[in-house]
Amino acid sequence: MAYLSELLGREVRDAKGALVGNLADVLISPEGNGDPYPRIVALAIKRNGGEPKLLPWGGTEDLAGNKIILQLPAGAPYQPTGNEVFLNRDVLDKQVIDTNGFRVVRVNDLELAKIGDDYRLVNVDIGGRGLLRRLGWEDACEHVAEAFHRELPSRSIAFTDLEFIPRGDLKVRVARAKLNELHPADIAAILEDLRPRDAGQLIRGLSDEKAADVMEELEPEFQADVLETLSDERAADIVEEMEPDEAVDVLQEMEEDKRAQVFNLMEPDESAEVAELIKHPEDTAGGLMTPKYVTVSSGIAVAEALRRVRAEAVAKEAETLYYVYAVDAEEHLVGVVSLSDLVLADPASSVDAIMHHKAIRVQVDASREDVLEAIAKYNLLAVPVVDAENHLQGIVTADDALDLILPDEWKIKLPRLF
Amino acid sequence: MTSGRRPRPLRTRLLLLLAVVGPGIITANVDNDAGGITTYSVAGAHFGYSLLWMLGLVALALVIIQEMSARLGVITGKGLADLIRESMGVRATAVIIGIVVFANLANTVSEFAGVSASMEIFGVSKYVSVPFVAVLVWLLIVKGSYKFVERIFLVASAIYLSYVLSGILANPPWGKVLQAAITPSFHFDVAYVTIFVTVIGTTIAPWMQFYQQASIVDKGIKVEDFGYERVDVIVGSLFAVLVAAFITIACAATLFANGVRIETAKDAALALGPLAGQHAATLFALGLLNASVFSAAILPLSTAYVVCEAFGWESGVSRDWMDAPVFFFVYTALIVLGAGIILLPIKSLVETMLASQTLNGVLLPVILITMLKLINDKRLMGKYVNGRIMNLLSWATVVILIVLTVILVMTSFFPGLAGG
Repeated sequence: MAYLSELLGREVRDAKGALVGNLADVLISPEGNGDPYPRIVALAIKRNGGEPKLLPWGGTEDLAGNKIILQLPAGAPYQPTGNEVFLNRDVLDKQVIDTNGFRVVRVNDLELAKIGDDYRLVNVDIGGRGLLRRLGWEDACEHVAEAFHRELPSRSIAFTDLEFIPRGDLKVRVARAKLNELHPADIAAILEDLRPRDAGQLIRGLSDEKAADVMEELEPEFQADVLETLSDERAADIVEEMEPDEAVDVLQEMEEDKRAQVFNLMEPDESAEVAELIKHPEDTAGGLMTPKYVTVSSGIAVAEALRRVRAEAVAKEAETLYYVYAVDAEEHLVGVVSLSDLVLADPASSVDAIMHHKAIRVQVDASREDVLEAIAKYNLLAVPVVDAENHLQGIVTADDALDLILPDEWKIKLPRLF
Repeated sequence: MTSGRRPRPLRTRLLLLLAVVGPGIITANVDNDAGGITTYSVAGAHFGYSLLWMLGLVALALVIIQEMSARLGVITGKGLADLIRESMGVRATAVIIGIVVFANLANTVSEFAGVSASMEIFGVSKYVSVPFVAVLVWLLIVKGSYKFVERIFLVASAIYLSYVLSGILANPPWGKVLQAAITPSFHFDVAYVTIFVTVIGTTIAPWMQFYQQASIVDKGIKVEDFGYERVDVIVGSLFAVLVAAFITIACAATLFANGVRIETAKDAALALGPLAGQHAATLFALGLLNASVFSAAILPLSTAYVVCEAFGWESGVSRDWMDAPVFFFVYTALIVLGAGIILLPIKSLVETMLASQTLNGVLLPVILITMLKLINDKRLMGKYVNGRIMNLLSWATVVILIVLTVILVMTSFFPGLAGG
C-alpha cells in the first residue's frame, strides 16, 4: 500500500540504477475494460525543474521503498491517449462526488494498493487522517490519540464510488452512467454542495427528463442560477420537461433577458401552458396550480369516461391522476369523481350519477393558506382551481402543497452565504 | 467586456447590471466596520487632513485588488480558499487559512468592541449589549434565513451615508481639505507609520478578497457579464473610500482643529457633540453600531465557510450540528471568543481594535502574493491572466505594503531609529 502524497517527489531510477528524476505525477487510465480499480499506466517525472517527462509503467515496479526503480528499458516515452487521469494534477486536493454518500468531498490523499502483482488505485482518502498525513503530523497525532485510546478520524471512499466533476480541463468522461443511475433527489443533494457553474456541468451530462426531475428537487433560486449557466436551447429543453408549475417558478427567478430567450425557444404548447400560469401571483392558487388534469363531460357514461381518460394525452403526463373532473359544455366545473370510483362503478351508469356534485374548489386568487386549508381539511390529494365564473383553470396537488409547508422544518439547508 | 453576440439594447444592459450588482457593494459596506471607523477617526483627529492624500492611492489599490478577486471568481467559478487548496496543497493552505482565521478573530473582537462602544454612547453597559448582540447574531444566522438578514443589512447600509452627513455637518474648510487631498506628505514616527499601515490594513482587509470572491461565485456570475461585475466592484470600492474620507474629514474639522485627542470611535462620537452638534454625534454613533453588528454577523460566517471550503468539511448539507460540526464549531467559536474577549477586563478596547487592523496590514502581502500567483496561472485563467500594467501596479502595491510593514516593525522595536 502506498499513498500518493508520500510518493510525490520520490527519486526515480531506471533499471540500471541511473537517476531519471523525481516523481511529479501518477497517471491512471480509468476506462480500461470495466476494471473497477484502474491500474497505473505511466509516471510523470520531473528533472531540474523542466517540463515533466511521461514514462510508461512496467507493472512490476515496487512502491514500498524510498526510491522507485523503473522496470521497462529506458528510452521510449509514454504516448498519452487523452484518457489518462493525472492523479496529482486532476484529483488530489480537488472536489469529487461520492456517489455512495450523495455529497461532494475534497480529496486529501489517494491510496494505491497491490492487487495481484500490480498497483492499482483503490481508495480515496477524504478524512482527517489524510489531512494530518499531508501536514506531516500523522504519527504525532497517532501517539496522542493512542494515549487517549481514540482513533484518528479516517474516512475514505472506494474509487468505484467516485465521480469527477466535469471541467473544461479534465478530459476524462468516466462512467457518467453512475450519476445517471441515482435517484433525482440524490443527484439534487449532490448539486446543492456545488457552485452553480459546476452544477450546470453535471446537469449537462444528464438526459432532459432526468435533468428536469433533478431541477424540481432544488430551490427555484438555485435552479435559475444553474439554468443560466447552460445554453438557452438546453435550458429550454429542460424547462419543457418540468411540471408547468415548477417551470413557472424557475422562469420567474431567472434574469429577464435569459427568461425571454428560454421562453421563446420552448415548444409552443409547453410555453402556452407556462404563459397561462405565469399571469398569476406566486402565492395564490393560480401560481401554484398545474394545468395537467383530466376532465370529462358530466353527461357521458362511465365506460365512455374511462375510454376518454385512457385516450387523453394529458393523463399520461398528469402529476396526479386520482380525480377526474366533470365539466359542462362551457368548461364549468360541475363535479368530481375519484378514479377508483370510476373504475369500480357500473360501466353503464352515467358519470353524473356517481360524481360528487359539490366538489371542494378554490378560487384562482385564493391565498396559499386557503389552498393548504382546503387540502388538509378535506383530506384531498388535489384541489381544483376555478375562476370567478367557475371555469376550471387547473389543480393544486397535495405534494406541491406539502412543499409549501416543509421548507421551515424539513428542507432546511445551511444558509447560502450570498 | 461584452459577449461576442449581438449588442444588447441599453435597457437589457441596465437590467443585467442590476442583477449582477451586489458582491462588490456589500463587501465595501462590511469593509467600513468598527475597526475601520475607529482608524479613520483617529487618523483625522491626530493628523488632521494630512492623511487624506493617501486615501486616493488606497482607493486605487483597493480597486486593483478587488478587481482581481472578482476576475478570479468569475473566470474560475471557484472561491479563493478553493483555489488556494487546489493549486498549493495542504501545507500552504493550512498556513494561509490559519492566518485568515486569526485575523478574522481579531476583526470580530473589534466588531464587538464597536458594539460595546456605540451602545455605551446610548447609555447601555457592554455587559448587556455585547452578549445580547452575540446571541442575536448567532440566532439570526442559525435560526433565520440569510436572505432575510442580508435584506436588513442592505437597508441598514444606507446608514453609512450618515458619515458623509456628519462630515458635512462638521463644516470643514473645503479649500484646505482639497489641497490636503492632493499634497503627499510622509514622516517617520511610530504613531504616523502605524496609522498609515493601519489605514491600508483596515481598508484592504484580507477577509474581503475571500468574501467577495465567494459571493461572486455563489451568485453564478458568467464570464460574459464580467464587465458589469467590474462596475459593481469599482463603485463599491470608491464608495468605501469616500465614506472613509468623510469620517477622517469630520474628525479633522472638529477634533484636530480643537486639539482633542481620542482613542476610540466612541470618544470621537462623544467629542463631536459639542463641536459639530448633537445630530452629528448621534449619526456617528448609529453608523458605528450598524457597522459593528453587520460585520459581527458576516465575519464569523464567512470564516466558517472559508475553513470548510479549504479542507473539504461539510458546510452545505444540513443545519444539523452532527452533519456539519466543523462549520458550527468555527462559527460559534468566533462569536463566543469575539464577544468574550471584549468582556474580559484585560486590555483597553482601542488596543485590540487598532492592533487587529494593523495585523490586517501585515498579513495583506501574503494574500496578495497568493492571488497574483493564481491570477497569472494560464491553466486557470486562460486569456484572463493579468496584463503587464495590472501586474506592474499590483506588484508595486505588494512591494509598498511590505516596505511599510517593515518600517512599522522597525519603528516599533527601535523607536530611536526614526528620531522619535
